[in-house]
Amino acid sequence: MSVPANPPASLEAHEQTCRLPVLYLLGSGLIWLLVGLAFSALASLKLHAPECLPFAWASLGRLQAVASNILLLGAASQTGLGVALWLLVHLGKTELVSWGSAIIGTVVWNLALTAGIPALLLGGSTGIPGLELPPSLGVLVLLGYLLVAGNGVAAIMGCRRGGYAPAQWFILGALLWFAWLYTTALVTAVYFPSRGIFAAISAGWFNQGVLWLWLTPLALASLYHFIPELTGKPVRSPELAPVAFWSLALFGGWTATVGLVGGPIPAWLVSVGVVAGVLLLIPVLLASVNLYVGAVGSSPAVRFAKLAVGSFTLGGIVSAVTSLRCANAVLHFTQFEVAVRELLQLGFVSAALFAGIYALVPRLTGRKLPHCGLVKAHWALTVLGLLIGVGAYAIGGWKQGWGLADAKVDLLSVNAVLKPWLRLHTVGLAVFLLGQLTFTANVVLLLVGFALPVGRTLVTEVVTGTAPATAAK
Amino acid sequence: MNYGPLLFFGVLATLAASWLGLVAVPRHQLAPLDADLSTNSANSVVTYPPARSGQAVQGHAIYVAHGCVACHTQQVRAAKDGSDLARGWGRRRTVARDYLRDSPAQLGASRLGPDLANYGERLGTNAFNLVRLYNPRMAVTNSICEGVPFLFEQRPVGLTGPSPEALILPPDGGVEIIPSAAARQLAAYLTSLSSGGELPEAPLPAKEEGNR
Ligand code: HEC
Repeated sequence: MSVPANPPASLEAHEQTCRLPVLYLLGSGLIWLLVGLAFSALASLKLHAPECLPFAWASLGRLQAVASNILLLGAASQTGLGVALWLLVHLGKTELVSWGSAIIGTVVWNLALTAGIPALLLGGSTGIPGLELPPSLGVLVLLGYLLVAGNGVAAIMGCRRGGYAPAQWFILGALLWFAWLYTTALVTAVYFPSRGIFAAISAGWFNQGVLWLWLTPLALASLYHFIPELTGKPVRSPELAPVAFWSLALFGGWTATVGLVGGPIPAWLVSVGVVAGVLLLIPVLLASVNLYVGAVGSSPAVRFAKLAVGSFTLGGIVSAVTSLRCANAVLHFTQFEVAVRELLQLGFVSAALFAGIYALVPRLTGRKLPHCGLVKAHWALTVLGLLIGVGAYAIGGWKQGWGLADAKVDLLSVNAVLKPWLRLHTVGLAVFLLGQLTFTANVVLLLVGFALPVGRTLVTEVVTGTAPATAAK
Repeated sequence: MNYGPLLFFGVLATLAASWLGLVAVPRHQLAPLDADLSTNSANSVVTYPPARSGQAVQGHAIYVAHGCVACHTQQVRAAKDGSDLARGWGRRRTVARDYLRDSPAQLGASRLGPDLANYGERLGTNAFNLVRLYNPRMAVTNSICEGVPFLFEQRPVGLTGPSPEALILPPDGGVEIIPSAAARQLAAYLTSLSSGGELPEAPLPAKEEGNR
């Protein structure tokens, strides 16, 4: 793997084809992140303040469904795909075959998600965990996705570079896996549900698959590319990377039933899920070795990359341990499980993609993010929000688990112990959201900057006191 | 890793394997599952799980639409997997057959509230108390359970006195609370929740095992 000493400041000629679709995907991904987090924070609030917003549309279950669907299908998926498209074009020294189709795909996708919010708030949920979006909208999301992802797969097939980089393996896997996962989930769980619990099993296959075979490989692709590029050092022990990739591919899909341990499903299914859940330690540890950054570099992109790697290692180990039956018996059904999911989705995936975004924004727009302080605030609030939010659910959920495990402790006392931690979690999410708002503010400043002459930013204008005059031009 | 076709093939083959194992095979295994028919002491055929009343079926849809699953599970685990039996949330663990009449089954993943798989049995012969749906805090102080007050109508008490269907609450300045049809359906569904029938694959555990 060759490592350029200084990352280029702008796009290379062949990369121009991907500028618009990538910017559009990253932009709408960011908006969905804000929307999803806002719903998440509201849902978190309702857990300890059930009296507020006593309306049908604000039922906790509905808010949670909006939050999880938007954060997954909007924020993480679109941002990840945006970073992925650029990586494929860049690494493959190729063009997008049809950037127009990628834009149309994203438009369809966004319309479906936009319609999904009122649909879910009005009670249109399918009632299947992770797949609450009304099926017709789910199909539109899938269509939009296929239009975008088709460009990605074509860019891999048209790769003009001898051989594939790790980022390309992970992205190819992710693109094909998500198409299959979502199609299967829509068909088996939503369109042709059989009676009883089968839908829960196939939804489990989708939900676990989406975490380990969609979000994880996208985030890892971003890290495998940007960490060496930004630190100027190749990944450590590169010979482990293929093993990390193939072990993730092998075990990721088999963890479907880790959320159903002890549940009313055939016993062999649970055993398979537990074994796969533990074996996932292999890709987690190998990729962590590859990506361990050490003390080098303190650019915003590197900081987010470090956060992502740390969260991945920690979250991966904890989720492997908690899939063991003995741990599961205590922690299943508690907020601890939510903490692990948030750590992986916000601490790992989202941070890994932000590492990519910080590295990409100057190249895509030809300008730097204008405000240094906002970058620092984004970083600090992100870390603080995660510490508070994930920490609160981890501690509170731990206590809740041991309380629930002891039949002599009644549920109301368990909840009384949990309540302060529920409150703290809301605070954590709000702080995290604030962090993402500071990033958004920076992007807005950058966009406003386009109205100003090159070389000057709104901030310099404001500082030098010439802003009103220039802006009026 | 530099040979494209191999990469494509490997990527598809790995997922295909788990798809076969965790989607296709379970579907095949669970599809033939049907209600259990047995004869009771009076020599008539009993079906388990029993069908739900039309009201209860509509109530299931309301339960789904409001996402009560956010805090309530409907699954009882065996004694080795948790304290469910000891808490009296069921007489035996639940098995696949218990869910035949639910589409989709509301297994749930959070226990901020108690498991409801056998809630109907806990109620026994007592009629379901709609007050808990109107405002859980009136039933259990400090409950974080979510009510559905929007499924109730607030109206002034008529000249002939409180109407028979009004909730029985401390008098409140001539206002009475009337449950809508939807609230009654939800109540009927909650009353119908029971997964305790004896099945060949889920015998009731011996007394000392379940502590109840
Ligand atoms: C914020 C979490 C939460 C949500 C959402 C929630 N509940 Fe609850 N529920 C609880 C808690 C906690 C309890 C235990 C305290 C109590 O009895 O009120 C409970 C208790 C109950 C009980 C009594 C159970 C028993 O064993 O006595 C019923 C019935 C119930 N809830 C129904 C519902 C319905 C119907 C909905 C959806 C409209 C719902 N809950 C939504 C948390 C929740």
